[in-house]
Amino acid sequence: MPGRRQSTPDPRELGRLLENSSYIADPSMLTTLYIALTLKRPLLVEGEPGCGKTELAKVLSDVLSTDLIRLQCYEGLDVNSTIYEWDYLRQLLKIKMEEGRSSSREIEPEIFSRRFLLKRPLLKAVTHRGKNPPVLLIDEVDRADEEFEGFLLEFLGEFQVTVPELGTFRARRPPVVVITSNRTRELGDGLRRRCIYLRVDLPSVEKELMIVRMKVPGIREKLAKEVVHMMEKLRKMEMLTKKPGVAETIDWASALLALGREELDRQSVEETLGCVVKTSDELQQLQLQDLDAVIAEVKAS
Amino acid sequence: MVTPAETIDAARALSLCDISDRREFHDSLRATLIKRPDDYPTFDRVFDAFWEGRADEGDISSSIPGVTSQVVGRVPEASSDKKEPSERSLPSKRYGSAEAPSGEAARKSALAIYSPVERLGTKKFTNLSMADVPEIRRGFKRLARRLATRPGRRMVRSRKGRIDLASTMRASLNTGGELVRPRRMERAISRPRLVVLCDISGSMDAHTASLLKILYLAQNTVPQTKVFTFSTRLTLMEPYLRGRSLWRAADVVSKHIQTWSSGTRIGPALGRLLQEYSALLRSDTVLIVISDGWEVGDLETLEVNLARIRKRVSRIIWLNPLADSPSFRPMALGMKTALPHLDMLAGLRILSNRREFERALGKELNPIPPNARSVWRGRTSRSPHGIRPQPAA
Repeated sequence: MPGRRQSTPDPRELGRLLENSSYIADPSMLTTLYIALTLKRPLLVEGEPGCGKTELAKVLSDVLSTDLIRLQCYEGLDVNSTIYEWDYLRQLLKIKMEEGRSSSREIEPEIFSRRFLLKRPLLKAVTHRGKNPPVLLIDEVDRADEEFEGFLLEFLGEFQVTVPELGTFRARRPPVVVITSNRTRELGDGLRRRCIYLRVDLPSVEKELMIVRMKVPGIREKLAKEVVHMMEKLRKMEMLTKKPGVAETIDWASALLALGREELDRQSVEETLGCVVKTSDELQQLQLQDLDAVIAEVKAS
Repeated sequence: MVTPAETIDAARALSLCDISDRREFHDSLRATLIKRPDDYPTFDRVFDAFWEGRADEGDISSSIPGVTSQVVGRVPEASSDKKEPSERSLPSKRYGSAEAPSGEAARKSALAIYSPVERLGTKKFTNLSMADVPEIRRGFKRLARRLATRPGRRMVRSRKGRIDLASTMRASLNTGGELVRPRRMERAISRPRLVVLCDISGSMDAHTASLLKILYLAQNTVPQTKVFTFSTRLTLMEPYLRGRSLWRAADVVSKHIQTWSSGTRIGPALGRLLQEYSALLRSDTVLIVISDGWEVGDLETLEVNLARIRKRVSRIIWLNPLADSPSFRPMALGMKTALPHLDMLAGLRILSNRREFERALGKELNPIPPNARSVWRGRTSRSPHGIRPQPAA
């Protein structure tokens, strides 16, 4: 392999670096991350929404001092959104300008040159020039369809893409690939086998508390503790079809801080519950519930 | 199933970690070998047994319920000096029938084949005939096509619709840059996602054989179909049905699926669906419930959950095996409660019989637009994701 590669920091070092970028990872996650980076395998991160999957990729790009290239997946993803697209308007302009002056055969190589090529994430990742290989984040791959998965598998094997008019582009060094999934559908076996698997769960109370302290600086310890305990109770409630994630905890804590509250009380909770519960009938149900009792429980613990 | 490639990854990972540290060893193996969180508990148990040196077959199978053990591979004596990956052979966990990677070393280690659904009673699927299979398969395709009426996000070539600038420009190269033939594109009709919920409680016993065929075909005909069975618990059937032959699937299912000879509890099953698999209930989903409606549980739960689901999915279709008989009236309490929330109630025969199908769907569901058929066929026959260059004019 040409060039000098940056060696991967060991798990403990990784943990420290991640913490510096405000990301808390437990030892299992660090070991998995370390293995994925060293073996140069893509990392498949699955878990509930709002648990820091995308965040992990962002923080990783900081830690590895490299760029983050993001491909957001959705149904109907195609070549034009993933690899490349020609800048048609400019090409058309060029053709019109050259009209009469040159034949179509002469201007063809100019029209189909890199100047008019719009690079989309995968091509960007493959042609990236920088000190370190980029982090390629393929976000929410379960929203794309199975055909895309098949294509992705091929791509992950070779890191090469073809633009018919220009030729094949091959990555000089493989990017660091992070794939996230919300588990809305089963991903194929092929993709799973190729990747190193990391499951991200909702954090424990202690861990969540650490996260809140880190992400919401200036928050009082008492409030932070109450918020985290309250979230724990909310997540256990059967009626909420969607369990609020860590992102919601951070939002709520930030909202309470912004309102200048120092501890939880009925009024504060009612006013800010929209940060946590996002469905109107669930919100109503929750408000009807005996919030006082829940708050009292939280304060007691 | 663990592949050799994954085993190599695991070996490489182990060479990076401190193998005397239990947690690191555990995490390294897990990250490289186990790719589904549902398998985590099983892996943990097998790992514990392995780490603690319980090599005796008897020990392992008695400690893990529902396990059939087989000798898989051999494991070298636990030592703190690192061995070359090639000398080491790792215990692998299998999901299905066993396969033994060979290895050289000191000790045998037993492998667990663990079935996540406890085996309480077996159901024999004897005399499975292939009789209805092609018809049912066609029935599902027909159903899916009929339900596919929503325009999706993908654009495909068509005679009408918006101008596709990209194609038009490409085509114009042949005419010296002059845009002569406009190419058009329009939204492809997207497939519905089917979620099939099948009642396998005692009262449905009589229909077991045909149910199995239906479930198998449901899973393997229309892509992105999720099949569940329920009696006391909701079980996702994909791992058992997908990608196997019908007989193999029948075999696996009979070993692993428990039927409870008590009444149906549809309400709680719907509740579980809402809670655990709510991501499946989207606006392009069609829920197909196969049950006789003899609800033993709380009717209110049934109604509330059904109403909630109805709001989230595109349609709910109820297939009741009793409805195949001409004298059927939805009298069962469960059926009556559910009826106002359903888009369609029909018998199982609509899947295998075209005339019944047309009769049931004729007035109820919208006819598909004329070009949707070709779009459908075009999509299913297309080779992997559009990396092909667009065809020249």
